[in-house]
Amino acid sequence: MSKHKPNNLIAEFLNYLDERFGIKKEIFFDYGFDTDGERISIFSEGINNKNLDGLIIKSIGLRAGKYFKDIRNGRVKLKISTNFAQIFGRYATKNVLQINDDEVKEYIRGSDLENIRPLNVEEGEVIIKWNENVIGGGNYSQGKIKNQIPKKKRLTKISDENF
Amino acid sequence: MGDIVIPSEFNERYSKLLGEDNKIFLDFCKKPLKKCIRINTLKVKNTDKFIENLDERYKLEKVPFCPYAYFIDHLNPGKMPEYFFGEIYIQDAASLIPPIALNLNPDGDEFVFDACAAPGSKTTQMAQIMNNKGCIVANDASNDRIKALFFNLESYGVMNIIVTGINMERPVPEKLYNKFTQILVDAPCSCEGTVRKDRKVLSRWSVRLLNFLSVQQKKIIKNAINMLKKDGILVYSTCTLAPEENEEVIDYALGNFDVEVEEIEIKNLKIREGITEWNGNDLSKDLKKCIRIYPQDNDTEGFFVTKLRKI
Repeated sequence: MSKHKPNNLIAEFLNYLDERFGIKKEIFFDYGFDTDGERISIFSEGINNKNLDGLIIKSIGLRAGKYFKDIRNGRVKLKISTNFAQIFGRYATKNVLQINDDEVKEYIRGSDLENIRPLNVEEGEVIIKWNENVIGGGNYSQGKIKNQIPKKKRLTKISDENF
Repeated sequence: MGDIVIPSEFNERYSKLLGEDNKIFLDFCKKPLKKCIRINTLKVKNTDKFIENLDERYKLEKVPFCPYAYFIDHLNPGKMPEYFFGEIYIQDAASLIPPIALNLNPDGDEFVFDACAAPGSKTTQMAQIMNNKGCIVANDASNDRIKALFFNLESYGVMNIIVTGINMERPVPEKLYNKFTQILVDAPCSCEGTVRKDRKVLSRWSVRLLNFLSVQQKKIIKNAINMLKKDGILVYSTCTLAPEENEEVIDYALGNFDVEVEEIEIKNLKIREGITEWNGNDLSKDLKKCIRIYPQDNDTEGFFVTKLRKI
């Protein structure tokens, strides 16, 4: 991605989902998107025809992703949210990384994963799955997945017997 | 768990309300609350398979009046992987009732206002009943509480949602009048009904507090009625059983606004009708249609629910 944010942030986000994960735009036919210039939100179509006059809106829909500046090279990048990945990640056809029972316990607790040798996965953002469940997003590089689960969402005290 | 101290005035009030049943009521107040989970159908698509899988690991018991909720023997469901995935919501069984009472349409295009939404248990439940269709405006006056609301809305995959921060105790702009098809007012209250899970709740309890809250609740319901469309439905609920915060608030609404009380019909839910006299004051006879949920009746928290229609 370039050094600057694209002009049409939502179109670029949809392109990113398709190019990076194979998630097609058609899936979002029944949804609308909104952006504050940094974050992208997705919302149900039913909101579109409502009279919102007089409402001071703090947020709309679910946070789908955000643009951020990579401090290593100053480039603007996109990242999908964990909650968005958990809902729409099942439509991904590429850059999906399957982890095993031992790894999921570590990942949910917030740890990075090492010595991962996936097939057909490019370096960069990946969707992480455990069986049929999408855990969220992660950043894959050189055999390592950097954990992207928000701290508040991690289950740091989960014990193995709960699985 | 330590012993619970029942204030004598609390005891006297419930003795007046319940007569001989007061003893069993107070005994239930001392019993720990059964853990209850709601299956989030916004994320769980094959409910039967999901329940089958949970059933292999835990002892589940269906909540009789809600098809997508179960009592569970796990002491801390917040540590289950299903919680991480937003597939289960930990919610007391009685608090499932207000969204059910709204009779939301799963295929509709309704415009719903949740006046006191945080932390979002009922909001997320309404979103699942509505299949993420239509629109819910989830409102809360406190920025701190809204953080918890955001977290839950996102974790549970709610997308038919707008979040606002209107202070419902102050007059709302006229632009918001006659706007919503359904409104839920799950009002801030003295929480008497939560004593089974929060044993300190009665240490904060006093009649003065009930009267103070009653004034706030009347301000909230007044605004909510103004925001409701003609023929729209408003459900008022609290997790308390104090008449000052319940029947007296509804009596005020009936006496001052164009609303009427409707029957609430929920299968397999044991209810008691609302009271029509308190502290020597006669209240509207229609208050019999309100429902009181005592802990001993369904082995839940205590709750009060009323359904109003704007005429």
